[in-house]
Amino acid sequence: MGRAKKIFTNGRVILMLIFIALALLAISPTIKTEGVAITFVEKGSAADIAGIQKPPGGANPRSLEVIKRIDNYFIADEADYFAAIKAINKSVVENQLSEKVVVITTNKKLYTVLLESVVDEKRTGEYVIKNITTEKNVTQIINGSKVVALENITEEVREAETIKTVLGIQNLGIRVVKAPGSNLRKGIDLAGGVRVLLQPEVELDDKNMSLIIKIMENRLNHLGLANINIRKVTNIKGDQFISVEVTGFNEKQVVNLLSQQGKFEAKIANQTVFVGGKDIKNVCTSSQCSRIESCSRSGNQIFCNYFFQVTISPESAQRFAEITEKLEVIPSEDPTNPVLSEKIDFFLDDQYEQSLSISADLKGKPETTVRITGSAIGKDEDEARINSRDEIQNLQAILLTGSIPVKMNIVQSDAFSPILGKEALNNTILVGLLSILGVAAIIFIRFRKLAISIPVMITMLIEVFLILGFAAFFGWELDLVALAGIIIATGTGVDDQIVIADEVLTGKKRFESWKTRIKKAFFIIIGAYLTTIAGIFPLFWAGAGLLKGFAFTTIVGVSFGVLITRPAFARIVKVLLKE
Amino acid sequence: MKHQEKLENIENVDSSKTEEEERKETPKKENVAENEELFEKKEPKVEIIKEKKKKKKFFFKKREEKEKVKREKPIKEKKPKKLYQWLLLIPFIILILAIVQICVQSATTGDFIYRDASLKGGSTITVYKVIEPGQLQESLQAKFPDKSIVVKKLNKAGKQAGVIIDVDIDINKREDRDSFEAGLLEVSPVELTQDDYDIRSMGSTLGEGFFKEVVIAMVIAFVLMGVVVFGYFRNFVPSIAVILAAFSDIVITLAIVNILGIRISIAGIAAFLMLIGYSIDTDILLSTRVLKTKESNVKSRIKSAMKTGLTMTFTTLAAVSIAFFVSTAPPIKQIMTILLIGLIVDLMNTWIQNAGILRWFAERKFKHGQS
Repeated sequence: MGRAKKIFTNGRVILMLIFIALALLAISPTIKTEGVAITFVEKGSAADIAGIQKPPGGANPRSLEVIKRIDNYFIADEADYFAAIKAINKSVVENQLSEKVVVITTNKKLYTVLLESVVDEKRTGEYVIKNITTEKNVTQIINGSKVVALENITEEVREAETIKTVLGIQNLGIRVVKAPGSNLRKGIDLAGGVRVLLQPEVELDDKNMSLIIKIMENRLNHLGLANINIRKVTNIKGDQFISVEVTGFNEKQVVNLLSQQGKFEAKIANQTVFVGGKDIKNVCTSSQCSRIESCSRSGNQIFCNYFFQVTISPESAQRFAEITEKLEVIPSEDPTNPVLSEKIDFFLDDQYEQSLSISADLKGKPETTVRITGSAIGKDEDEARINSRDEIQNLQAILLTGSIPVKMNIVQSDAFSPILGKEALNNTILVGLLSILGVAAIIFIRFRKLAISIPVMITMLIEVFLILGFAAFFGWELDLVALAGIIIATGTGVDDQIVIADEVLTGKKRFESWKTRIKKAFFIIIGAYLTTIAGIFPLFWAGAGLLKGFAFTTIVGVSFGVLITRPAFARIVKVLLKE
Repeated sequence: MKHQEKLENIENVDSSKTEEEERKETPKKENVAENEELFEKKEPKVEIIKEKKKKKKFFFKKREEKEKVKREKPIKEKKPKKLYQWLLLIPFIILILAIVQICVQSATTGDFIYRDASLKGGSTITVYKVIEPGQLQESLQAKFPDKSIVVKKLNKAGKQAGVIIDVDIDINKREDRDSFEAGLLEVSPVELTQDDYDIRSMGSTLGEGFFKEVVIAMVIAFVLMGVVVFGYFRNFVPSIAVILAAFSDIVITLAIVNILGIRISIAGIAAFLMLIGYSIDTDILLSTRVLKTKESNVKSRIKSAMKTGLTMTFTTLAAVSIAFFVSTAPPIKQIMTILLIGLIVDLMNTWIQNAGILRWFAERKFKHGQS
């Protein structure tokens, strides 16, 4: 007991314990995690209206709001979440409900979310005669005096008959991930996802840079992907890059969306009516006004036609009116529906995409709703439909966000499978643990003293823990190379502990004082430390920061070792060897 | 306690024989084996870069001659060359061979290392399914005859865990990449889904730029390290010896990596930088023990340093080789491969080269100090 007291009352050991506590606080691990964490809430969505808060950028994983229950469904992971949404959707379709109130229970609050149904209206081709009765004030002259009286007037109205079918429920408008078990952030190669590095063709000032980042973020948000991390990076020469990391696995779509400048123009007779971005007020995403219409075979490929509606600004609508005013009405294939002499042409990045006839009744009208159509191909209908859906999303994102002012070149793109990432992480943890055991075995063979090999092992584990705590505190992402850095940093740590142990043991024999021995050991340790730092330091800038994680964990690891764990280790060894 | 007594005994019996024997036994054998391997593989290529080689050799001859002159001084005064002085030749010969290898490599391939897609531009596809690499390479090559495709095996604990495909696809040609991906799925003997592989693509300009940058980073790292060493020891010869050891470590490891035909990735470069830090630990330990310890003679100081240093290297070797065998992640595997080679090379460079120079320096200084 005396020894334990000696160890735990020492300043250096106490300092180490304080750091361990801080690391624990920063990581804040939990053993059991249940629920899904909300990472994003779409503005104006049902969830947003119900008061669910969007987490601030860079929020700690453990501080995210976690959904525990939706109605009567308990949510343990992402699969449960999607199953619950599907079940709710199914009940709405089965019972043809026009809306549905869903109760979402999170770890913080209870929300009541009103979800509207998505309804498809189809004309049956029949017409119904409806009697519409309205009340009107009618002035009558009765007995020479004016009397104002209310009278019911019934009018006959001919209306197209429609059938309404409930297709499903409105989107909740949130993105979720499995509730994280700690504040540690996995790098994209471990979490699975896409990492794209883009380089602008000309140098950008800060204003343009943040504008472009904003546009990219909006575009990706529109895709509804899980997590997005966009940031500016520079290399040694000062070249600018934008690094985009997206979890969820559709590399092709992400690259497409980011590499396109996305300059969308609608022209009539070579005069611009509206452009993507500033002239677009809204893009309709519900299935009523955005869907795939028909698919047909052509050769060995299938074409699918799609459309969606956009709302343009009043100024653009005015331009439309002015231009169409001068056009002539010509007959079209459909005799009941004459069209204007010029079509509306769509251009994307200065390339002609599609033309649409303009109905004659729109002539000279400031029309704000514009229908945009297109088609996608595939080798079978499924593929054609998926491609159409991707194209709709892509076009909508571009129309909403406008064009990126500068051409961006893709200079690097990595796609990682989430399943493989998980395997790689488990494998690396195993590697780490086995390595620590291996080192402890060699130490035991060499010193034949448990009083040395056990503290060495514990110190290694503590160092790993402190590095992880530091990474969690600063929100650093741990990728594979960073994990290699951790293994290496603790390896250097072991070297230093051997120096301490040897210096203590052999110095004792030379009748040197404890102080001289430790001083000499630390002279070696500090020298080795400084040279390691010198070796790793330049990596902070090289290669657009791709090895930053490695440099970070190594430098933090060896620094923690030299400043915190090794002095404590020296003390513990001293007490255990009865000095 | 027993252990210490033993140590004491050995030190008290101040016999140079046991020490020399010990040294002959342990590191020399390995080094000779490496030496021969280098010789065998390098000889046929030597002619091509005769001139370069001559230059380098000349440079080192000069250095060696200088050293010889210095070494001969005390010899003239007293006894013949000691064994450790002869042993000093081994690391220098290997260093020269390594430089020759790197020169041959540069002359024949235009590059002093084999770069993978991450440093050159192109795509790397890592498939975590057991596929015969040779066959896959053939069928891919047949399908894409204008591409340069390299398929390598990915091992875990001695067993195949997957394949790594390197292909020179231009990142700006999306169609190429999509058709290659589709082609891979088609020719693969095992059915693959998107979850079975990772793809990393690097633009050639960025890859090139990156490569240049890390080379610059490495030079900066080396210079910084040198400054730290000089500042730390404030003594010319020992500092130069430490820097020379680190330099030899990197150059010889690089040559061996080349001979093994390993294609270096970004992670591999990190490993080389790490090697600077790692290999120097033992050199600093050695120099400190020799220069800062007052008691006993130089030989036993080196010996005590060796005891500590070998433990250090062997613990690291244990960790690194476990990681090398168990890991499946290509970046980690490559880092560990390079460290494994580097640490073995460092055994020679620290305990023969650096220790030899230091011993010669310290013994001479000791004499001068007395006279």
